[in-house]
Amino acid sequence: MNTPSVASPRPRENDCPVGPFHHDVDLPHVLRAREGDRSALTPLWEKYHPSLIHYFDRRTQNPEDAEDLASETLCAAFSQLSAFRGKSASPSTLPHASTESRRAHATSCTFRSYLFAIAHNQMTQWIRRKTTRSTATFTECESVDRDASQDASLPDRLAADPDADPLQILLSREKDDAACYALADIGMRSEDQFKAILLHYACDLPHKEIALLLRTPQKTINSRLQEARESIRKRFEMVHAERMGLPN
Amino acid sequence: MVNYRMHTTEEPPATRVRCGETGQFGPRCTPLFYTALLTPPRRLNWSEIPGAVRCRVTLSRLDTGGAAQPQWSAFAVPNGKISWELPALDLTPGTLYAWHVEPLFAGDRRSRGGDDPDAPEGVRAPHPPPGMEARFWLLDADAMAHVKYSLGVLEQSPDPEFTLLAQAILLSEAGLFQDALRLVQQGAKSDPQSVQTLLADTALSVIYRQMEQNLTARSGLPACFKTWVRNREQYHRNRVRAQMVNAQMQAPSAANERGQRPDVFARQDAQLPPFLERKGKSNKPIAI
Repeated sequence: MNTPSVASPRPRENDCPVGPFHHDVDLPHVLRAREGDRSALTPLWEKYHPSLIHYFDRRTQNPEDAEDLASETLCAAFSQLSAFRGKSASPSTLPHASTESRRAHATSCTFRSYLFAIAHNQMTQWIRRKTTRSTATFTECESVDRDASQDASLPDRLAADPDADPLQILLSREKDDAACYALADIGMRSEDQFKAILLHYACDLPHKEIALLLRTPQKTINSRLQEARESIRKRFEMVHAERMGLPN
Repeated sequence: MVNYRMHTTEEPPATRVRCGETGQFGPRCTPLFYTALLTPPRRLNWSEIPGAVRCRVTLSRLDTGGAAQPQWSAFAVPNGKISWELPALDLTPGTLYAWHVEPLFAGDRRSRGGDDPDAPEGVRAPHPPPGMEARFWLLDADAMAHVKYSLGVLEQSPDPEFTLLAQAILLSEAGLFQDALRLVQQGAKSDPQSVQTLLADTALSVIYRQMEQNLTARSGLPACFKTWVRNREQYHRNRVRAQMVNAQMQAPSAANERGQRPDVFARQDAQLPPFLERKGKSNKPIAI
């Protein structure tokens, strides 16, 4: 009969001389690398390169791309080691966590999670490149691929590229009806967002110009546009989930 | 299938809000009862007041405390005439003006006005005379320059229909509500099911909301002004909602087949939006 293992008591933050890094088994290597010891990077490379390849391979379905992306991720992480502070970027990524656990999480980001955050960004950029790469060489392919991407449903395109701008996609379809409904939907909820969206997307005005015309700070315009984009995205995701029979 | 028809051929309920016993203002009142203007008005128009044999029209300048200083007054004696041409008046930009239409009824003894040498016997204004009251102001030089600059910037935008809406929105930002509403009305399509109508209604509701916010910021205005604006805004919101529901009800989608709620946003994958195929009855332009 197996005896339950007793978890070792978690050291308190104050007990740890390096603060937020105290859980991180990779910390010694990271600190050495920061001090200029290049050999300290080798164990990190050997440890994470296979798991990163696996991560990318599952998502790209392309072993060559997966290997390239894994290498790029590690290179990016190593070149920015000074940016690694052992803190998560945003506690809001834990919506259901308590305040204490959020705080704990915010101060306990490991090198591994830092690395996979970079991997996620690499993946996003790869998807973005993927949608435009094939159109770069051949003019004939360009129109075909563009048409194909235009025909893809918006939820699918948003699923493929989380950073894509939903309104930009809609309006690129020559004033798609869906874009008009999206504008109307925004107008029903916020006149400020409607004004910003109308001037930016429908009239091609830059943020600075909109701020000038509406006599509003540019930061406010930025946040209004961001909020409007988010609300459209949520709306489309809801529709997508509904169509796929997924719980909202 | 349930088909939600929009009530587009009727004037919205409570478009005309009665002020007191006799006066009323509404869509036919120009200048609009609360608006900025680029140039001084040439003519005042108001809704017909039933039973009134004459009307006294007064244009006053409102000082900062809200007190009215009459600038010009005249009697309208026409049979059913509801318009009066203004003389050339030296109106100051940035100053609030109020114009007032006071109805005079035959046989009303209370209304014998001592200050009216032309008043026929037995014709007097009711007391108190609420009448119609509207307010306007001329844009000052700074605001005028900003409006001109804004419209100039928008001239370069690619889509004329969107540009029209954007221009209207910017005019309403400057307080030029009458011009903003007219601009949207001119661009509105007669097809009540078109997306252009949908956007026009959305823009109109946004303009009325802007107007309501302006009214809220001002003090000393009749409460019926705000009620009127709120009703108009609600009317256009309802039209937008109705069109969205209409589109939802007619959009065939997988969700609909499963008995779930369809959504207008799902229609982007449809071959042709079904509501574009519908030929509805021609619609009256939106009365402002």
